[in-house]
Amino acid sequence: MPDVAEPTVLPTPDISKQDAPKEIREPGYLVICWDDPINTMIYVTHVFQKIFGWTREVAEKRMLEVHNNGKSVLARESMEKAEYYVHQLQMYCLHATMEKADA
Amino acid sequence: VTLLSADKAAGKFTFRFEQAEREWFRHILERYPVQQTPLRRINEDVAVNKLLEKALAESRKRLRSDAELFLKAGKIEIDPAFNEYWDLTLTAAEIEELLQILNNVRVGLWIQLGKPEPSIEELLPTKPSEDQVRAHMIMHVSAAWQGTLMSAVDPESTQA
Repeated sequence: MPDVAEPTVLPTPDISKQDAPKEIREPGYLVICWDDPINTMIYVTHVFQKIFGWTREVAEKRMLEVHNNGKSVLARESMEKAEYYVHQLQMYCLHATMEKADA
Repeated sequence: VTLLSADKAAGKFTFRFEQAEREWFRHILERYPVQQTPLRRINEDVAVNKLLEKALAESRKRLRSDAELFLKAGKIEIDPAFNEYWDLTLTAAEIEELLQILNNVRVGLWIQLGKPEPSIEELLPTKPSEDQVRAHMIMHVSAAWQGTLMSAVDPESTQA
């Protein structure tokens, strides 16, 4: 009869929060831009390009999300950075808010 | 208002205003800021919200001072036909500030008019009051100048 090997107990990997992806570690804040009937599409696209450094194509896509869906999540950032973006967007009179992201 | 010259390498843009346009420019800039409260609450946290609104008020105060500088800048030019113009040279950063000022006045007036939808430009009351007509004119002029400013820094922006 062959020897039965003792089951090897592998060490449980230490999955700490530090190894988790950044989004799980720090859910952060969502920067949201809401649609309105007053700001023109061209203006909103321009502002997105300026603030986020996006190409026109990317900025237009996000602008259309705002226009068609009523809102768009523009960024997920740390609180400080989200505050910075919201401040910038508000100075251009876009309707921007920030809310805590779900983990 | 027309773009007279654009030196992108130096980041300088010169705009020409006719006399009446200069008066409109002064009239609009003197109104800034019209919109002082965000349309939506920025954040659910009362303390964060208060802090953000305070920071915005400070930025608007700084922009108010810059608006004064814009009004004092520029120079009068007279063409061979004795037409008087006002030429204003702006940097790209100043153009962004001016866009913020114009849009604040425009959005602020729209809010004062009761946020008509789709917008006052397309929806004038049948018998508008003098204030409504003035607000409509300012909003229209501001939007047109925003287009001029944006196409100066990015000529393709308004070709959509």
